[in-house]
Amino acid sequence: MIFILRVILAIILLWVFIKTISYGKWTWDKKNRLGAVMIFVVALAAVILPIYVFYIRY
Amino acid sequence: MNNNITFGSHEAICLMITMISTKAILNFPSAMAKIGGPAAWIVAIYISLLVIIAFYIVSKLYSKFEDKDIIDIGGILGGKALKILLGVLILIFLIALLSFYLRSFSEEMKTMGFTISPIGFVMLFFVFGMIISAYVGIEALIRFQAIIVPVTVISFILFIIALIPSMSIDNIKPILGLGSYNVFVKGAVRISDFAELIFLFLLPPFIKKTDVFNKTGFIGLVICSLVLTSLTFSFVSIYPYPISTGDLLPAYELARIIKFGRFFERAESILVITWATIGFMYLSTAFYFLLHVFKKTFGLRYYEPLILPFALVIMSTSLIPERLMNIISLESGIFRNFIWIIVFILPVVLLIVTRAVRREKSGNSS
Repeated sequence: MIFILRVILAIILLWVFIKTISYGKWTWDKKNRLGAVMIFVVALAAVILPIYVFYIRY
Repeated sequence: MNNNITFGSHEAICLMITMISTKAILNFPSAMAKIGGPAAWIVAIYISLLVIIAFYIVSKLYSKFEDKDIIDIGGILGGKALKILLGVLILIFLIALLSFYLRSFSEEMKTMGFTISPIGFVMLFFVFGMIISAYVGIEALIRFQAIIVPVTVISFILFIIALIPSMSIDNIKPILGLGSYNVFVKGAVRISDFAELIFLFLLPPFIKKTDVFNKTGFIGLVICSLVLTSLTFSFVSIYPYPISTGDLLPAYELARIIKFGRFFERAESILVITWATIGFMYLSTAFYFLLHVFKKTFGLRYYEPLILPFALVIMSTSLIPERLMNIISLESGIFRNFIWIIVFILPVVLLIVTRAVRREKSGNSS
């Protein structure tokens, strides 16, 4: 059960990461460099923090 | 754009009540008891008065900046750099606040109704609520609060009335509790318990007019002060010091003692629904403003693509502390002792300097 939950979470994380990065790329193309960089930071945090909490800690 | 959405004083007051009074059902009464002992209720009145005075000063300074929020004012004074700096400070504040309260509400729900469920599972209900409300937007959220908050306030009044038979005046003696130094000097720092006032400084683009801003601030603060003081008074007059300092969920403990004869007992089971709704409103509003501030600070066109990543960040951050006790110590011992600098000192300094710069500029041009 835990394995299945971890696989589902990994798929969600990957999907959210790709979606956020694509928004960051779109913002970069609109010449909003700082906004794009901050979106990339949020995308990274949205992957690293759940991995730490759900895969490493538990 | 969001600035097309306008709401009146009733909606804004309801929002303020949700954001400030919510802590009454969490650890506010026991935090006050730790400072003032039996005089916890005096600490609550004292900080309420300090906040109303602080808001009076801010409202006078704010009068020249109709429909500008605190980030816009930063932009007027220091251009993009100060706007971003202020935005980042507010973002850090909101992320910390959301993490503390998401965990606290989830732990409270777990204690009351989901004792064997993992905390992450209970938390998911609130996180789904935050995500859905962020997609729906501020207008629906505000309208919902405008209906629910008056009902909540009435149920709170009934809750306090039901507690009256259990109160004992002997428990609040000596009147100055742990001493006037604790009450009036240490207590002053707890002005940070009204740190959610920052939401009012983010509201001007939505409420537009200065008189609505002032009305919202004063009426909202008075109602919040009454809620926080009455619950603190009830708590310390029922649970004598030092028992009152050790409780993690004071309102829950108070609800457990409500009893009318043999037929009306365990009132906390009714209150669970009310508290879950309050928690949902608080977290959803704070989450919306987190996205709004991020979008505004970095000049983004949409906030919707950031809803899921931010929800993941908040949920993960709130799960980092291992126990509820750790998160309460962090919130009560560190966060609330310093956040008054960002919420009260920073806006006052910013408004004074911006007004001075504007006056100088207009003097030079004439």
